[in-house]
Amino acid sequence: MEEVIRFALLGLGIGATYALASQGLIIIYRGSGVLNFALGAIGMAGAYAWWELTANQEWAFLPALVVGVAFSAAIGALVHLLIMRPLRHSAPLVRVIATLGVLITIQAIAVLRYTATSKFVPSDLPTDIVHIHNSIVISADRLILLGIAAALTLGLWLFYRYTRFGLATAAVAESERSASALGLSPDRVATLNWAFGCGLAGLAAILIVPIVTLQPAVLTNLVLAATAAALVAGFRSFPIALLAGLVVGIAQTEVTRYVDQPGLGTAVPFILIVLWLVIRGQALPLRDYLLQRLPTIGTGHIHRVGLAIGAVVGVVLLSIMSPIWIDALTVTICVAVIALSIVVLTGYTGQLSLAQFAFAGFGAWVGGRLLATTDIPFLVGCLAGIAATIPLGVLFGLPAVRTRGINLAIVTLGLGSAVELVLFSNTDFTGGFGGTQIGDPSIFGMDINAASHPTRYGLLALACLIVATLIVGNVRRGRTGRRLIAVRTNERAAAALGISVPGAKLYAFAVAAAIAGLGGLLLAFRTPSISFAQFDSFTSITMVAYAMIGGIGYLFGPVIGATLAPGAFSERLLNQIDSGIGKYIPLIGGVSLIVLLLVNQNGIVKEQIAQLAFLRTKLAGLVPFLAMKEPEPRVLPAPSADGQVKVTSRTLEVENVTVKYGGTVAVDSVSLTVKPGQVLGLIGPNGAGKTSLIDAVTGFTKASPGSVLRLDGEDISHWSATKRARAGMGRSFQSLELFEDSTVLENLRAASDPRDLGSYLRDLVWPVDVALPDTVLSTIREFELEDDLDRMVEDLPYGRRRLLAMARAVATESSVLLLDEPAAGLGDAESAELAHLVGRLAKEWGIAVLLVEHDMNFVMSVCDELVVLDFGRTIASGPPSQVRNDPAVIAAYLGEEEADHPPVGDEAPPAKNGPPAAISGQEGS
Amino acid sequence: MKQHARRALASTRWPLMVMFALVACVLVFAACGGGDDDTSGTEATSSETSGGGEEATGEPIVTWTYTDVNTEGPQYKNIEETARVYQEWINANGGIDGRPLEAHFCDARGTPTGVAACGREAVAGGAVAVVGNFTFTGDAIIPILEKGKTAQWGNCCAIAPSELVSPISFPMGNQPLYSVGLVKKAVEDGCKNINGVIIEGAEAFIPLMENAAKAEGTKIGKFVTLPATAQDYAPQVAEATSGDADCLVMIVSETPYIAWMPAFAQSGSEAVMYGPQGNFNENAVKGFEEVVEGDVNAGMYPDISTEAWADYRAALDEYEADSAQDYNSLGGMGTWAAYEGFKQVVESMGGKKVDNESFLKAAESAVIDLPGMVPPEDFALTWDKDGGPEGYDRLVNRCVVFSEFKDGKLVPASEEFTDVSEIAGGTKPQDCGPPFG
Repeated sequence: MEEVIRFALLGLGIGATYALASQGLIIIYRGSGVLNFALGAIGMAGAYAWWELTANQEWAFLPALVVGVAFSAAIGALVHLLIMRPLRHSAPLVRVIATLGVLITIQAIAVLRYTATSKFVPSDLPTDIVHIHNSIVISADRLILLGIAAALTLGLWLFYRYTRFGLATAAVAESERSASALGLSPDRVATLNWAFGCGLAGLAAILIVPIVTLQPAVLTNLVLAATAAALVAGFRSFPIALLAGLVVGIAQTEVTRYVDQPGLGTAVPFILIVLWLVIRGQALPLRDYLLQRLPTIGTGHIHRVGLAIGAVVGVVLLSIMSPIWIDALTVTICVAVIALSIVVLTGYTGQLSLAQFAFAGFGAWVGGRLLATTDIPFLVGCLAGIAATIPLGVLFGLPAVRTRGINLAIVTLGLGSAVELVLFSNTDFTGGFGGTQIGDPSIFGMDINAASHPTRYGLLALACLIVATLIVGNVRRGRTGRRLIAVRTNERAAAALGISVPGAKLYAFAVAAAIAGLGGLLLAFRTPSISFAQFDSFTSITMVAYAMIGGIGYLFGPVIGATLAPGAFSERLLNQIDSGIGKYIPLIGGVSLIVLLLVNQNGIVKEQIAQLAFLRTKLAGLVPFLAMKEPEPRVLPAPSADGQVKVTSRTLEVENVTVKYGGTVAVDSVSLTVKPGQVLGLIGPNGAGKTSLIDAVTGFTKASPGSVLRLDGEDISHWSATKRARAGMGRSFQSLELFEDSTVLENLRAASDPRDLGSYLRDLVWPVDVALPDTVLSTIREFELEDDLDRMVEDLPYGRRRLLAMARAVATESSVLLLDEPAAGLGDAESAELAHLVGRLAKEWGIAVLLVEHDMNFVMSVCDELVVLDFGRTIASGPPSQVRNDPAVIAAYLGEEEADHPPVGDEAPPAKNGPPAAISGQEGS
Repeated sequence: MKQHARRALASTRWPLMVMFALVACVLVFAACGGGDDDTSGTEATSSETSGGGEEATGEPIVTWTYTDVNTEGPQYKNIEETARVYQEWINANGGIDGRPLEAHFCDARGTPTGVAACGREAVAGGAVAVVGNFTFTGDAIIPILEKGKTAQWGNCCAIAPSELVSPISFPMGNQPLYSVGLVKKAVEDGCKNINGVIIEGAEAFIPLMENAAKAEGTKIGKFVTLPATAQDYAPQVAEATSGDADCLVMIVSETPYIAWMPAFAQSGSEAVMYGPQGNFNENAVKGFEEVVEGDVNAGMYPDISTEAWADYRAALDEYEADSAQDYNSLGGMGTWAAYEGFKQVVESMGGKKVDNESFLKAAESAVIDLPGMVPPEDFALTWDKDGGPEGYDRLVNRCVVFSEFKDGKLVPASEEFTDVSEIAGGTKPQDCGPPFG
């Protein structure tokens, strides 16, 4: 027991360092919503400044400390003002990658100036040994560090809880828009928090470098581990971060002491991250999940002539170049394959994975170990490696079912790091001293050893890249691609269309893992002895950066981005120009990344496509075959039979549905029934619980126990949102939630595509679009969308978008349609037209419609029955003529005083539009 | 859209301009520090003479030396510097067999891709041999050199499996046998409770050390794995020094040693540390001179202060080797010895054409005689032909030397090489030559 306590105490020292680093992460995240991977590097810069002053200028500890902390703070403020502020409206992915650019840049500068070697720095804190009990001893500086961490935690807690600046930060963290409305400057708050957080990192760095040594990368590693503590604290609570940091430190030391598994102790924080997020995550984002602007994506169409020219150029280059250049080109191709996996996963599906190099390494590991230990042919070993990576991809994808965005990025980074530390770094698993030797690889008897036949190996890699690109293009163009993009753009909308969000995510992880595994095999098998050390987690992050630079949503993007990888084309080119440039490559890479993100977040390829189109237009006069072809007008087939659509009739019964958010009851024992052909209006003032009821009925919010939902008598209370949608419950959203970066037709196809699993496989090879069903054809005509089918949603005027939102819900062949304020923002004429349309959908198509709407003209003209909610409870129900004169309804809309003098007859309240919608537009009732 | 794009561009323009200005300042700042380490690849002017010897004439003898310099992992700029210094010194002293040496350097950057590129450069550049190299990723270059029929000559520390078995590999050092020497020395010094400390990734040393302990009639209590990334090593120190350990046999690189030392000092342990040459060195223990007093270092080259290294010391001084580097190390002395060995092989070819293939042939039967630097090395009698265990075929040097810390300085602790062939698993001892002291 004494031993356990002794190691727990030692873990406190490490835990205190994690706690300090995590506080800096939290400050910056609260102030600007950015997970700052560069925090360790910025802190390290402050530590170097302090060291320069104390070691070289003979300054005293404290003045040098002040300068060091100020230096880090200044860097933090500059990073925010120059980089993060211009990127404030960008996707989280872009901002995370930007911090990576900062990290690479600062580390590169430090290496250039100080070299990467460790420097011992004497401690200014006392290092006497404190005897606690018998063999339990600990150095005094660890205890002091613990005390400093605790004091800082208390100080930060008080500061952010009670000062004006702290409250402003909390306000900004909750809602930047609301904070602005209150007169607070989110920008100033963010700048100060960046300075504050980075200054704290500088302080932490100066205090701990005597323990961990002064070295450019050492504090970056610390920050990755500290992320676990920050996560557990929800990037919010300083005391919890302190406790979590200490627990992580203790867990690490105890595991290291008692579990004889190299790497496992170091992997503890990463394993903790995964467990925490999986336990705490949510299957679908809540309504307040912010929709961020995502990088654009390509169409997936492959220009055959372009591909052929590219392939020929590749073959020629690989045939005529010297082995040095061939290897550089081969590395570029291998990295491009790995980056292509990021196009599928992050570009198309929106899942930010920082584990792609772990997949690559795992593929190489399985294939390599098989080839090293058995007599199987090379090709079989490779296929086994790729196949084995698929279940790992699914395993890594499981947390994605319950986490998203930055949290998912951290989870995948954690999993990747765990694989690296426990598997790749452990010689027990990599062949011991002899390593993993695959000998001379050959295919069909042909030697393809990259050392002796670099051209052959390069051609193999090129062929794999082309095949992988074709597969990814197929996925994008097929119905699978529409599912993935639906999930990327809006998980809630995708689920409402019956798309299995977990299924799509897991599929994307599986395909991406297989592609990354292929790239890893190609990269590793360039040498007969496999080096697994190259598959480190940090490179996984830079891999996303390469994909980002090229264009994360474009098939050709990875090829462009991959040229920047170590050992790839750009490095060879720079070395060819001047060998002295070599040492500046990391710095050039870091700065280029930042500049590219600032100038063009969609990647170089998008820019190139636009430039090529411009060039073709200009040259078309001289070279006619270059002229852009006008797209042929789309002719829709006529619906079969008489064009009359009838959906399957289903009745929705809602019985005693209650919804609670914490202690607040949003919906209180509401019961209603919607029958086929009926339009049931659900009205009430803002905050009455209308949208919450729709969310509960459609499975987007959990109803309280006792709530019963039936569809045609079948209890669907425990069904997922997807299952309910597939059973015929369609819905629209207040905020539309369209797939903005898709065309109108793609939105409708996403709604109407068959949900068969087979297409997931078939689309890899041969994507086939089924003919549009009659329902969709009729929907297009009813909603008059014929001329808009090929337009991007983001280019549509507001009224058309409203129509599309409803049309998309109808296109799912819904039996029950739940419409959430479909007429919001429409003019009188448009609103009346829409009301007419809704009525026809009910009467002629047989759809059961539950309508939430504030436009009372709309409601009164179309609804057969009304249910009125106020504060979550039903206050009236019945035909419109009866409800409109109900005193309780009038009181609910106009207040008690006005209700004493109710209008009479057809001039019934409420006015055309009810109370103003919520400020954010995301806050429903 | 265009307007939006213009606005977006305008909003990012001033930060960009400021950033460019900052980058310019930063480049100046970075360029002002760290010495003049233009390390990515150098090509020396080959036939200059500035010393007192005869002028080297004729076609230069081209070599390549590669190691990791610009990397965030371990760096060996001392290898680059020693190769440069040797080139200048030998060319100023008559060259090799009267011909100038043209020693190219290639920075492998710590990656398999980088080292493979170095191999391809060497082969394409017409290298007679690659000389005095070290990387952790040697497996990536050996197949390329095999294909190019180019020898990897004289390196101190064959660490990749292929470097220990490939017929084009001619290591002059004894890696990994110094670990066996450390165990032997610890036992001879009377250690009762020996624990091992192994840097993550070097677990392959464990069987050799266990074999050695068994051969010496003892056993190693426990092995503690040290995470490769420098961090607070206090828990590892606590574990390593537990069980009344009086000696620690350590296979640890210099960088983690620097982080290990404060934690070890603060633990209050009085265990004697036994570490490898070039890693457990004066730089690693700076600030803890009292703590390491009497601790032992085992390696393959006698201390730089001994007579055999007189030319080396003088050349480092004369050709202004970067003073920040440690030359009393495997990298420094290993590279110098490798070039001296290379010179002997070329001179033994009797004026015949010197190219990669002829050198490779000559190397296969070369006998190197560099008294005081390395024991006699007969490459016709590699260990696989001399009773050695499988996997260590190319080791012709199985003799170790010891140094110890006195007042923070490493001083020789032995005056002759000690053979460890048998306790390392071989069947026959090696003749380690006469005392060099």
